[in-house]
Amino acid sequence: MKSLASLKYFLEVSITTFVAFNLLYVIWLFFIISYETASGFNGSIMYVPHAARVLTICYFGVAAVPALFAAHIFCTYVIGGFYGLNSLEFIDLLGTSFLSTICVLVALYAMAGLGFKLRTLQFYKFTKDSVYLDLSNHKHIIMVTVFSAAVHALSIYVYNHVRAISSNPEMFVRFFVGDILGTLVTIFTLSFMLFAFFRER
Amino acid sequence: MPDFKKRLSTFVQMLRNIEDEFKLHLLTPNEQAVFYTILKSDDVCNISKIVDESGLSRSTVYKILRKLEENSLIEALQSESDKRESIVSLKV
Repeated sequence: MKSLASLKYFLEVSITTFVAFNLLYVIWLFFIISYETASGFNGSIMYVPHAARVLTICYFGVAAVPALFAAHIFCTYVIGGFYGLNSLEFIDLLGTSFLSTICVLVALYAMAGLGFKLRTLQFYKFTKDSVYLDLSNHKHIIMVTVFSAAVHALSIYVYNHVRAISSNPEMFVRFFVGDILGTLVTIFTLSFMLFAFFRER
Repeated sequence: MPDFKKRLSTFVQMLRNIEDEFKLHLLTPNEQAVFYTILKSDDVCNISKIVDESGLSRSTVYKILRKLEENSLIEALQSESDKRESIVSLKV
């Protein structure tokens, strides 16, 4: 019975995560990237799909990781590849997708080391003195966003450097700023939409 | 066992907190109630209807209508059939 409930939760989380990442990727592809590719592309300055990584890992925990990894590969290889955005070999695509997927988890581990803990992740032994991240507080989510953007930008930069794909430091800056801006824009847009749709009375 | 709906509601709560903190809504809940009553009416709307549907007192509704009119969201007109009655409509 308990395993059935776990499976149900896993499926709900996986579907939500996969659809959310795909939606944000398509929005990014059609509405944002078209303005950026004209002047030379070295990482997006507003990468909105990073919001899907941050929000799903924070709210659903590790259950979101497989769907996030699958969505990342699907979007980059199938959708991005169709529009000529994917120049990576498949092995590098797997590597970068893996790093991009776990960047939020690594950031949360790093934050746990600094004393911030998250109830949705069951890695840590909590004590009464633990300082919990409050998921209903947008400032805490923004803090996770900044940490995860730094981890993401750094890991992708190192990977690209080691694999001799790119060593341009501008890429690090664009990934870092792009992830933060993209997530902030997504969260604030969702907040505006919430007001428009659900605050009638 | 983690609950999917509970986690989603925490996310919605976070979005609401942003809305509240940055004051994304220009109208108070009472003002929104009056505004949406006018919005939902097919053509024009009289004040008695707004009072009935919003559940607010007549004086509160008058104050809110004045504010909405100052913000150019609605316009108040005199009814042609009954000169004593005011009707309001959206200013679009």
